[in-house]
Amino acid sequence: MAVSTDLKDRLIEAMPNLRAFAISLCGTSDRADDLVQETLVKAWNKIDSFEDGTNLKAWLFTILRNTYFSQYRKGRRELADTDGEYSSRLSVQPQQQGHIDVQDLSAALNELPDDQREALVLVAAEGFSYEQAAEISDCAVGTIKSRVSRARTRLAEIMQLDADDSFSGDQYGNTVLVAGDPIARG
Amino acid sequence: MQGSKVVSDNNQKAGKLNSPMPPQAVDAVGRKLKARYDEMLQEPIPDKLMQLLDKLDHAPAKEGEDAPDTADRGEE
Repeated sequence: MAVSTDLKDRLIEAMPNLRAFAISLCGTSDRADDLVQETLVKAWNKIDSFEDGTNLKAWLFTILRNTYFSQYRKGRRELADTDGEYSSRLSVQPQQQGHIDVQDLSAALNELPDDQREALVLVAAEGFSYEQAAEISDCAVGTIKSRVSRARTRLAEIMQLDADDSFSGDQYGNTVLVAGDPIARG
Repeated sequence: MQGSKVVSDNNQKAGKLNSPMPPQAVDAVGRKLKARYDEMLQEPIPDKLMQLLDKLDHAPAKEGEDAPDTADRGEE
């Protein structure tokens, strides 16, 4: 029927973004695809509750992140620790600057707490406004802002530590330790 | 390139503990994140997701939140 065909097209359109968000949250593409799959089924079955004229992508993202936090989050740590299907998968594209940076970034992203990673990806990568991100994550705008800011700084710290450990390990190490940051060990 | 407003190492050494990272490093990370995310957006959609949509599209319309089992699995 026409309605569902239209819906289907719109879901297809949103799919790359859903996947990218899911991969960012899950850390592995297998689990991410499961998560997207579940999100699509839920979206399809409760499309009636979607208000036309509002942002479909934001609505889908909300379903996806709620599903992630209620069902997928648990398994995440152990998977993340088996160092990096995520990283290796992301580095496969040689025409993009096949730089170590990409791997570092993925690994570093995995170090972030779930809520910070979510906020950062929504705002800095996906391009949602703070307000939209707050709605999706069901929290205050100020909370999102501070999560994004902490996530950015933390990510930069982690990557700097990785990239420059020869040059400024001590300096950064100390700084980070003083700030009470667990990643300083090791 | 980013030399105009250099936040130098000195700045860190003078540093406040609260923000040990120079803003330019934080910006750079943000750009990398965006670039990596955009790469992911270019990836082809896996077949199983497309198949799932086909299945949903052909399943009888259902109003509840219950997904039909077949659709839930996506494929067998």
